[in-house]
Amino acid sequence: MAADAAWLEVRGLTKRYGGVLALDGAALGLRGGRIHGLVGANGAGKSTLVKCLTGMVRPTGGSIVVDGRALRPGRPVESLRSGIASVPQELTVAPMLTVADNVMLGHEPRVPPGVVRRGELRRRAASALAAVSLEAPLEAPVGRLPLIEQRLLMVARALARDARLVIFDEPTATLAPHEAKQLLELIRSLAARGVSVLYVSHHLREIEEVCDSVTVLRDGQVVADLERPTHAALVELLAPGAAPGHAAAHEERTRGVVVLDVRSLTGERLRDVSLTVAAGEVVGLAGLAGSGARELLLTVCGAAPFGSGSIALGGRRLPSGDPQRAVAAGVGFLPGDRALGTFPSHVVRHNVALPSLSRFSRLGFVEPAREKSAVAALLDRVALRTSSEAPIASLSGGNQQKALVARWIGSDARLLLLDDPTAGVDVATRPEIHSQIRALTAAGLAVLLVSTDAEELAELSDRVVVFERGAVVGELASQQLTSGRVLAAMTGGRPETAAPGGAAFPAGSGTGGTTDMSGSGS
Amino acid sequence: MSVVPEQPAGARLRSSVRGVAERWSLVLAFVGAFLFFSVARPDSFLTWDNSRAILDESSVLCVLAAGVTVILVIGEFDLSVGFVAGLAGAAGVSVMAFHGWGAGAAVAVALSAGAVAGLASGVAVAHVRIPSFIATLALGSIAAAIELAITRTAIFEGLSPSYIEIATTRIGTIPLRAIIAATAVLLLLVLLRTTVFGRHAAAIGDNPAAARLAGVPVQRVQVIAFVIAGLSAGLAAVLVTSSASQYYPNLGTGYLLPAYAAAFLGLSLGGGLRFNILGSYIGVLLLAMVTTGLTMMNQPSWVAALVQGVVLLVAVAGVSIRRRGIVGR
Repeated sequence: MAADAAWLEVRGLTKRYGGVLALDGAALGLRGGRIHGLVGANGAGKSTLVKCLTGMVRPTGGSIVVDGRALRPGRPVESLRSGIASVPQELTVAPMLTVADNVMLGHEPRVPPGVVRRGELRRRAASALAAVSLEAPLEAPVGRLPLIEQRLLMVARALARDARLVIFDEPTATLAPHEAKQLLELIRSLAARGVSVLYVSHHLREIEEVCDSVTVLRDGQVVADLERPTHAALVELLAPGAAPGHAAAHEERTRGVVVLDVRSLTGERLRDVSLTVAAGEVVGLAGLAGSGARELLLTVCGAAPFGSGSIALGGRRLPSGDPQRAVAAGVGFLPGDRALGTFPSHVVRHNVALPSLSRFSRLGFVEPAREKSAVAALLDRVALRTSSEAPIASLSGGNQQKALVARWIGSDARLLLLDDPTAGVDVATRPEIHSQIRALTAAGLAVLLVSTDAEELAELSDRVVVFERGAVVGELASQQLTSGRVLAAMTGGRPETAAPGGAAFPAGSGTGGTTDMSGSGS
Repeated sequence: MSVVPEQPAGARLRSSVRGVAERWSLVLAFVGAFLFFSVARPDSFLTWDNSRAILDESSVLCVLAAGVTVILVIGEFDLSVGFVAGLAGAAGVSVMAFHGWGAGAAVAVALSAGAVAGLASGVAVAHVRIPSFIATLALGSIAAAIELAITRTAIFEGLSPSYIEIATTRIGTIPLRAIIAATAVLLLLVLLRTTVFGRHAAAIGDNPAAARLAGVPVQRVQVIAFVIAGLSAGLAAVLVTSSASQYYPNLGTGYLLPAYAAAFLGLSLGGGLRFNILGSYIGVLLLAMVTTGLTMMNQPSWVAALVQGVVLLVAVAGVSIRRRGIVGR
């Protein structure tokens, strides 16, 4: 295939949903062996464009031309036959099926009436897995594989179909830094083999690092096509005038009273974890997937049980695996996966008020007037300018996250558990969510923060506790907090443990080796 | 995404008319069917006697469908309601016929039997974590077995006269059974719409994992919902047996499918996303009206079953298409 001519062209693609134009005459061209980025704020039309390419959505107008022939719109099978494969953000593996069966899913070699040729299936699966350097047993159930390997398996599935274009949608969103690096390597090697890659992401650093060219979408329209995109240029295009600067200096303050006291906590994936969080303090938890950082959050909020040790909130012990008691005691949990947080067919008001309904009710009956005014005040407090009667599903990811913050303010949470609070949130909303977290801690809330983004940890945390294999292996005090150090600690470089202190320190200054787009001045 | 200002007014009007039509399709179907039969059989269908008969005869299904709707709202299934109604009927009638208990006691026994059966389902689903589909199927079979063990598969009479009066009394001109059914429907409507329980139930049905993490007492709400469904089956049994003036074996089995049919018809009233009591109520009345109307037009009884099946399929297909439009974004 010729590397210099676009073999796939998107021409004037338009998609209208009711009165809303999700895509408005979008155009782009893809060439073999090149990695093309697709960026834009939430709701800019990235997903719609991808869904048109994969045939999941039928465009209202325009065309997708492959080798000079227009693709019939809205036909997933035809997209696949034309060599378009995608690795979606949510994994679409069948967890009970084997590795081999998952790689060849929907593409099984067969003898005519439909009998699967097992040997051929295993042979092809093995060669696709080799192409992504994944050494997983062919007969193992996929659900047992770590997340990164499941994602590599999705890429192998695309290759097994002889894909000419592989679309990646936020492929590194839930991966730890070294895993993300592994995936980016693989993407480069795909391009080196002549495959086209469409790389959809909010992570502008990754775009800069990996993409040969990029298309920028805003309100469904292409606003720029760049060769060799730089982080600074992309930030300017995506959030004009709102380029994030350095975080405000951590203020020196005396630590408040201890809110969360975890002692010798041991569970399925935690080993003898002890830590405290004081009122007004943000404690970051750094670690790779499976290190125990996220597991600690899930255990504190009651989603996961623990074996021995104790969790005390304001001096009162929490039982194992009981979210209801945890919420009643003042724990608020913001899951990174918003599918675990929102009630999609409910309006904003119902979503926000749920844990605090007893405050707005008498004898079990909800009093609508009190509820409405309380919710309106909460939305105001998180600067969410939307009707409380709007369906939550109509809000962008960032605004849904704000609604969930409002939920926990309303329930008078004393401890907020944040799991990747800005994952999938656009560049403009991200600093807003960060400043709200700061305002809440200034008002005395205690925060435990887990993030896969080292810069976010360095920027928001007063100190960072480092996890490895279920145990606490170190702590970075505030004067040590740079994203470079956090990143080094997360990826296994042993941090020098220092006594936790509250010395004033301008966070984020002189950061190097960042994994993400925010914080570093552009 | 941008809102398109230049969209022609006609298109906007068309799309909003379409939205309204979809949302109110159940009411339109109800009115349409009413008008059709009124024109076709003005002498027999369009009479107060007939409307009263429809209200009276559909009272059993109204109560059962309302109970089933509570279960659907929490995202579960209860396939035992018909069998539980049979058990409750057997229990209530047998204490009158064999032990000479009064009507009030018989009603209390029937309701208690329903509540206990519902509690069993609730515990099996919420605490033992058996999928509700299979748990209620198994418990339904057990309920049917107990029913037949009590009654030895015989028809028997000997009901207290005041028990039979439940079916014959009219308040003003309206049958008592219809008033009881409407009251039960109204109670459950208020429960789901205005109480903390109702809000919790809807949240669990929408996203159970998120509800748990938000501190909703998921297990308690599930158990209460199944007890409510059991109570509604008990009440339905009272309405059936008082009208029949007797107990007959397996009296509840025919009601399961139409109860779910009505609830799914009612789904369209919630925009295709939420099961709701009012929609189920209208769904029951629509099914009853179509059955009666077709009988009056001298259609064989299989035509009514056919029309009900087609109506249900069309309604659910409409809801699915609409849901795809919402989720497909």
